[in-house]
Amino acid sequence: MNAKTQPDFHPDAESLNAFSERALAEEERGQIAAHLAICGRCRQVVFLAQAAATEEGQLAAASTQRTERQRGAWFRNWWLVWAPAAALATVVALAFYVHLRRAAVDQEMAKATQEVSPLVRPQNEAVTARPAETPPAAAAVVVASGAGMGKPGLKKSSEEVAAPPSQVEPMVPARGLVDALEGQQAATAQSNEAARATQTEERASANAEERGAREQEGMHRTVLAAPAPAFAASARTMAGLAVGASKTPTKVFSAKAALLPSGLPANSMVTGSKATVAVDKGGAVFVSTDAGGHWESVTQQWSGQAVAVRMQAKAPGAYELVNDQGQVWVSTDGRVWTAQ
Amino acid sequence: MSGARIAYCEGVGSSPTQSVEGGAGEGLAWTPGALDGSLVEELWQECDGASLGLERVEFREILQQAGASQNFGLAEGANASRQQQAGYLRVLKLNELMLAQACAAGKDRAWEQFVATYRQPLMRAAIAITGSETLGRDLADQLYAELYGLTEKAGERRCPLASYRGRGSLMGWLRTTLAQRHVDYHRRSHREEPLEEFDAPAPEQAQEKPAAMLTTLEKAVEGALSSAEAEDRLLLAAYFLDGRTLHEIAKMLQVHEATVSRKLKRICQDLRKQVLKNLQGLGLSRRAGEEALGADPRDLDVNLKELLQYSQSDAFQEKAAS
Repeated sequence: MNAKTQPDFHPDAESLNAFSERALAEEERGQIAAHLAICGRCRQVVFLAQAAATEEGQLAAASTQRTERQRGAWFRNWWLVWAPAAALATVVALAFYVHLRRAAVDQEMAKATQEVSPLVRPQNEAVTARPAETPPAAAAVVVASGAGMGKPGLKKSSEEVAAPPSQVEPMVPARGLVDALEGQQAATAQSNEAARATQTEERASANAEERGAREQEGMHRTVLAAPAPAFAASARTMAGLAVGASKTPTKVFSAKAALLPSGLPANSMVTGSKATVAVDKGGAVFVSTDAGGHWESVTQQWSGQAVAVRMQAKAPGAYELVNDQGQVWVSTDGRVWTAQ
Repeated sequence: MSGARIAYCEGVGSSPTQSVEGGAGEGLAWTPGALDGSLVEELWQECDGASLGLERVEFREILQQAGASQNFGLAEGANASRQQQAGYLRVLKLNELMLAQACAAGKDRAWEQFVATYRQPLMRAAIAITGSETLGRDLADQLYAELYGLTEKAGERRCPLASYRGRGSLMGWLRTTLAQRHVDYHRRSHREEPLEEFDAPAPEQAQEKPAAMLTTLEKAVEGALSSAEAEDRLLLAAYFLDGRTLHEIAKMLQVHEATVSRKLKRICQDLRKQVLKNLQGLGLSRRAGEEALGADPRDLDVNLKELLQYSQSDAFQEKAAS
């Protein structure tokens, strides 16, 4: 046997593996290295085992990565859900906020109603007993007493809308607030404005017929106040104004008609030839040029808290704003106010 | 227990039936070469050999054999103290050693654990070594049957796992054994292949006798290579003879590729210097030596393979497990 070319005595698998894993002492490692230097067979064995270990390590690493990827897939995909989830949460939060605001407003109005209703409810029974017959936004109907009223007519009815304050004031606050509560189901202020003229005419016509009938029967006539003028009177009363001070073709909206952009109901509202001006319960003033379709906030140019708005009697087309101290500011467009 | 093991145990001075407790608990005097009883007890607790179906006596015997095979890492004839024994045994992969030896002893629980842990890796390693799934499965099944002890020699069940001593990992041992089987099979099957027919070229006219300078150069190269360190020669053989890449060599030596590259460069420079020195020693001047180094290597009749295999180590008395 040629020991140079055919080394038949090879280190066992234990030694070769320990050499590969550097688990041998220096002396034995040197012996194995010396053998490997001369033995192609053992070198091949070592390299093959090493290659298998490397490949196995790569497979194990790939398998681990795959497992981690699979395990992490559901979790990694969560980030895709974050966007819609955040949007949904925002919508829910917004809806909840709006709900709270509305609930607060309703609660406030209910509270105000409870405070006033014990005083005025009995007096209003005559009116509230016929809600269907008396639309909330209807104009005041005055049934003239006595036979000498003459024939009923539209002109007459219109004049009677501005009823003397002494006759309607006792009923005003309660009716206005009740009307404001019922207004949740009523038409909007915009539609009210359009409908009011027609309804006034119809009501006047109907009332004229009714008056005619009552005249024939010789019945005693009483004065009834319809809701809308009643509320207008209420607003005026709260503002400390004399009811009927303005004889201009002013259309006064019911406060319950719509919530203003501030989220509060209108305390006072007046419509002139140029714009509709409203004051909410917080004293904020808003102006609308499309009959309440869109509201624009007016920067405060007055002192104190605005409580009412009305048309100026001496200068038709001009608006008057009254604060809680009774001071008056004047404007021609509802936006720019100057102290009177 | 095999007769060889009993003889071995008798040779190292411990009886295979001696209990672990008996080694220390009974206050027997410690004899050189024998395992310390308390050390065995500590390792027994750490390894939990009972889960593999081993008994303490067997456990002690396995430790004794593993330590004695390398004399606990000491020079031949030296007696290992308790600390030296502990230092050597604690470096071993004892859990894997116990598993392999328990399998070799035919313990069912050990085999269950072995199959659960190593069956699939063994198959993957065999496929990686052969480069073929079919051949790999065949190779793995063959080795698995061999490990299970289906082969017998002189009527005795033989299990290659008994030769595992725990110095490297058991999986590494399995891979190396697979590689050995594969390389041996490959070499045998190549020997059986018929030689391809080819027309041998007509012998060229007798070449001119190599110049004296070339002869001198051959001697100088032979001298330089034979004086190189074992690991340097391994590097040269792996890189220049086997054509292994730096990456492969680095993996084998568990160093960085750059280290292998630097080492190869240094070895080549040292070899050149050594050859030049040898040439001068053989009577050539420095200038003549440098001219000789510039000779066409194809003119040299140097069998590098033979030169690299010049120093045959006689340290390995064991034949390959095959």
